[in-house]
Amino acid sequence: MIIFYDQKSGKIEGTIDGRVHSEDHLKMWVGDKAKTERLIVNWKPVKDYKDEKGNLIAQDYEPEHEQKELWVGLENRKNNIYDYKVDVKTKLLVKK
Amino acid sequence: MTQKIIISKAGYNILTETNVNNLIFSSDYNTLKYATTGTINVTGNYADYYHTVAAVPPFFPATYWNRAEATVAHGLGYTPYFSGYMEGTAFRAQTPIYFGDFIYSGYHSVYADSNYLYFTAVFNAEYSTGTYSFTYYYRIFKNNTGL
Repeated sequence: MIIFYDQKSGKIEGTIDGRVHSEDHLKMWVGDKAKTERLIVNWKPVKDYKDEKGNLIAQDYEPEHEQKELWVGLENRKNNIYDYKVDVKTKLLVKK
Repeated sequence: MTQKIIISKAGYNILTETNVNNLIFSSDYNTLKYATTGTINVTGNYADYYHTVAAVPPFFPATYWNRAEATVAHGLGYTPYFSGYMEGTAFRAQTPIYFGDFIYSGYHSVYADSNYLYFTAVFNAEYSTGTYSFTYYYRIFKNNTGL
C-alpha cells in the first residue's frame, strides 16, 4: 500500500492499494503533490513452500514495516486508514 | 488456424456457439484490466463556502454552499476506463451521486482526463466554520477509452 499524507500534519489524503508496487503505481500521485508526501510499504516474502523436488510452490508475505499487524488490517479493511495519521518524523501510523 | 480461448455457459458448444451472450469468456473480446485501486479524501473548510442562502425562520436555517476537489494523478497518458465510489455511513455508492431534500442537497462526481481523476463534492450545509471530509474509492483500468 502507498499512503499519501500531508507533509506538515500527517493527515492521510489517499491511498494506492497493493502489496508490491510497479513503476505504474510509483508514477501516480494522490492529492496535491506540492503538499503531500508518500509512504510506500511493500510486502516481502518471509517463508517459502517447496515440493518434494525443491521447486518453489508458494510463499508467505508480510508488510515491510514495523507495524505489520496494522498494515495487514489495512489491507483486509479491518482497520480504516482514515482513523490514522502519519507521524511525519517516525513514519509510523498513529491513531487520531 | 486461429487460436482462441472460449468458455461457454452450460449447454452451449464452444466450437459452434456464436452468440456472445451464451459465453462466459471469449478471447475474441477485450476485457477490463485492473490497473490500480485506492482511496482519496476530499476535504475542505466550511468557511470557504462560495454561496450562502439566508435563513427563513422558523423552518429554514441559513445554508452555505461548498465545493471541493482532489485528484489522483494516474500517469497513463490517456483517459482510462475508471469508476469511483463514495463512502457513506453504511454504504458505498457509485458516483455520480445526487441527493437532496427541501433544505440540503449534495452532488458527488468523479471525472477523468489523460492525466488525472478528479473527485468533486458540491453540497450545502448549515455550518460556516470547521472542516468537512468525504472518502471515495477508485478503480482504474488499463483500458484506453479512446475518448
